[in-house]
Amino acid sequence: MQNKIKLNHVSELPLKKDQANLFLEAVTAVMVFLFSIALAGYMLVDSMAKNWQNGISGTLTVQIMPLPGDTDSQEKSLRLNKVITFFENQPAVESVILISETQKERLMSPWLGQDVDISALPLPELLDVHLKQGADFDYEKAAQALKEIAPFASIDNHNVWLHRLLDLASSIQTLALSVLWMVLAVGVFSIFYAVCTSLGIHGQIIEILHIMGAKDDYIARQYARRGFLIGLISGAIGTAAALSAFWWLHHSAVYLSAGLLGSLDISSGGWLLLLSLPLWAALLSTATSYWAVRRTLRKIM
Amino acid sequence: MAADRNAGTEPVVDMQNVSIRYGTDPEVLSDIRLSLEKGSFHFLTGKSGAGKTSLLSMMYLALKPSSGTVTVFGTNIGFASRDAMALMRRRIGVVFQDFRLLEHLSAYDNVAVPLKVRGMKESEIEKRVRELLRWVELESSMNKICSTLSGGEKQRVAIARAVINRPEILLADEPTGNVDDDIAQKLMKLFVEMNRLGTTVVIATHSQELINQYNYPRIHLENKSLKVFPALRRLSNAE
Ligand SMILES: Nc1ncnc2c1ncn2[C@@H]1O[C@H](COP(=O)(O)OP(=O)(O)O)[C@@H](O)[C@H]1O
Ligand SMILES: [Mg+2]
Repeated sequence: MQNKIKLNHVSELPLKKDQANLFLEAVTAVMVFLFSIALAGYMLVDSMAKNWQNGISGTLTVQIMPLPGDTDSQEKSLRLNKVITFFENQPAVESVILISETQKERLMSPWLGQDVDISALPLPELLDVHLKQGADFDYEKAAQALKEIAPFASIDNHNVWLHRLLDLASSIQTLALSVLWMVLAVGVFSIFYAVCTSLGIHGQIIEILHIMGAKDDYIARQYARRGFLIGLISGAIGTAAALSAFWWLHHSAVYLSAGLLGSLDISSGGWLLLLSLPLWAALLSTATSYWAVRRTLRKIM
Repeated sequence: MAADRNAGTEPVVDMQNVSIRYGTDPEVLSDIRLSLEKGSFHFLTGKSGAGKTSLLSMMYLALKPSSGTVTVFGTNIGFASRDAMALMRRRIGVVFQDFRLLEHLSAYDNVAVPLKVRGMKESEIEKRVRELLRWVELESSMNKICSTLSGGEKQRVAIARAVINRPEILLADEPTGNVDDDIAQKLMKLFVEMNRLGTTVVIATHSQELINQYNYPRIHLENKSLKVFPALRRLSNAE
């Protein structure tokens, strides 16, 4: 006979026509899009934070302002000592050095000229506080504590600001991480739910396959195959959408980024991770589909 | 055939104190016992609703008894793992009353299912399926989708699917119910032939004609219980 067999990669379950497919495809694409955005956000903030971190040296400068009508030098040195002791008592502090009059003179000379007697001017005293290597110094807390005991002293603004930014960055990163986890959870749940529904719809076919001697593995593989395809294709769509969003953002922010934010950079490893997201989505969707079938069949059939 | 009695031969199917009920309905079968020897051939009779399909479902491992023990191939199905059940089902062929074909697939794909699920090579599957479809005279329709086949053709697909694995147990639920006489005769010949090759056969039927024509023992279901009538003598058949 002439009849040719249409080559048999037929899967008995008509999953290609499942109602849930469109839902799964849409959910997967959106989840991968959100995941990409959150991941890119995380990595961007990470690189910014690294830049800021580099801006913070192991020293900080403390100013002790002169008080109006401040002439009693004894009282003045008492106040100075209070601040010095405060810093010396911080566990993260290695040493505290008072910047001498001559050094100050040198610092001021570009503005005041060589011949001015600065001792007559009400200049602030300056402390150079050196931190121990790798020590964890809480600027906010120190600034707060210092304000209470010595309101006339203040920690150099720049460092404090950088630390506030770093705190903000770490909050944003925590947020991004929780978004990543939520997206994963919703994705897994959606696949699980769609698989359960589909198993219900195809209950009769599954029963026949079982009676013909199919193991649960055989059925689960057909779902896993669909999961892989949907994950890969919808994942690619989601990633592509995210990349266009980055491109658009990059163009609208290009003038800003140079000034305020430092270099906006994702490492090449980061790009690789972003570009490989469709593959990860496919793997997760494959594994989840397989597992959902095995688990559901064990429970209900 | 059923008459051979080798001491120590384990029954292929053994039921002890088996009852079946669906949900909270009254029992369909109550406290039945049945033992099928390897290579035996039985008709299964009883009025509609007597429990024939239910009894067969237990034999093809789609239904577990509400109480009692069912042992198939020496394994208590109450304790078998899911995968072990799958392996046992591969040794059983079933023709359902309503065919239960995968309507969206071709005749070829339907017959191939039992071979595919055991992971047989594509070329071997093709050879076997073609051969069997030729035998049931469906080779020319093998790429037709099942939902487009006639009742008689569907039945032949169902039968081909049941025997393609060369099963050790063959169960048929009223297989001659809605086919022409000559097909019914051909079918019976196939079952008898398979039985001769060692397959244990149970056929549920309403046809007194069939029962009279073939000289096999009969399992009869009535009032929730089961009776086995021995084979009639050859006399009635030979006239
Ligand atoms: N899945 C089911 N759920 C509930 N009741 C069922 C089910 N299958 C069969 N029954 C009931 O069990 C009884 C026996 O049915 P069945 O085994 O199909 O008998 P037969 O095949 O001899 O006609 C009938 O009363 C039928 O209504
Ligand atoms: Mg029935």
